[in-house]
Amino acid sequence: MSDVYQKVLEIFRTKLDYGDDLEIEPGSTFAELDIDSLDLLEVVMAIELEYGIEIPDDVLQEMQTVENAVAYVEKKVNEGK
Amino acid sequence: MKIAIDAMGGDHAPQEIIAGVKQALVKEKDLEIILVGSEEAFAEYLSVLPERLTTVISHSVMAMDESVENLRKKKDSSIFMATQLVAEKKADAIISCGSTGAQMGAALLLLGRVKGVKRPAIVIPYPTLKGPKVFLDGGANVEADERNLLDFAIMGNAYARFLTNKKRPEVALLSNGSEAHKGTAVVREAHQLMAAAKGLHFIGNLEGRDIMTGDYDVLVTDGFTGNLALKLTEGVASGLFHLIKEEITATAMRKIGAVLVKPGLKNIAQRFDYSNYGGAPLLGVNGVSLVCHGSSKATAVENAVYNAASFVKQNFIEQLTNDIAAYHQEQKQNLTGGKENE
Repeated sequence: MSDVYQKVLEIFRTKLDYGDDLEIEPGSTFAELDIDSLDLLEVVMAIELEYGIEIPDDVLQEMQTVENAVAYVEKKVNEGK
Repeated sequence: MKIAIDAMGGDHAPQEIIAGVKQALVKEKDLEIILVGSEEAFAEYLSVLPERLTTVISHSVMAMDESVENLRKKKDSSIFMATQLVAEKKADAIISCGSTGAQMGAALLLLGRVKGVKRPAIVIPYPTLKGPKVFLDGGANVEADERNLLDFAIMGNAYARFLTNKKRPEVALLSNGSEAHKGTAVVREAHQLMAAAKGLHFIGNLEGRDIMTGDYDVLVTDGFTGNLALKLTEGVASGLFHLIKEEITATAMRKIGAVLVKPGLKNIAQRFDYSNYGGAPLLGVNGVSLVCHGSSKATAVENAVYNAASFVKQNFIEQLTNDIAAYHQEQKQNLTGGKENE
């Protein structure tokens, strides 16, 4: 499990869990996690802040799972190396 | 105490916002205010800086109809920058008359939520026959599930305790019938959750016709219904006043009577005037964020400043956080059969 994966998962947990011990798997879809536009905004901005990146709107629209988010961040982090 | 104010939000911004701030500074000598707005706005309406007023320049505005997602690209907007001042502890509270969605988004992003709350709610002082009562959600969440409604009830309860000093305010749920089985599936579930919550003095469902009676301290509903109810009340009150005016001035004889009833009618209008209530707090975010009516003028802004100062002085956020934590502790104890405390 990569560092990026761990960190992104932590961001999802911090932003979405409100006392239910929410279970988040890599394959969890945003719909399964009951993520609405405000949740997504919170998660995305926290990721952008953490990695100093900007997730374009078209990429965001295609993003459906936690895995998708991790893959995009890993790609951007690797590009920056 | 420092209060950050979005000078660009609202139908009458920036002039009425600036006017309200100036009035508040004259009356409240302990206050410092940071106005966040455009250079042009300050050049036009704030040529001389009063004492205890500073400005921060913002470069964009979140429009009323703009999607909250645009906040990502508008970190230089007045609402974002004003909220950031609170997040960075440079101000104690934020006030805005601009887009509610943007204010909620900025508060969630920068201040975070009170632990245990998924969705913040706007709480409104609803003018009833027994004075203003706590009504929420005023429109922050168009959709809400039963857990959200329970959160609203707990937050409304904390707010009513703060306002009225009542230890156990009476909390009700808005539905289409007083019986527990009435309402949508979400309302029925919420009814069960509220009835089971030991920290709440839940008095059951109330119907739309009961809103005005004020036979409750807190009335809970989702933001869609809440906003409809509020706007409907405003519309009915305004329509009724129009009809009364039409009727009592229809003949020369009635006009004589109209002179006599005018002061009474004025008093009623005052009780319905939102500008007297000075903004509504966004409950559930980790800081004082006051939402003002979009059409607020100077008096409403001035009252919002006093209101925000009172929330800060009395540590309202701490009280709210404690109430929410107590509820979650109670839930855990129920699940573990009280073993946690053994």
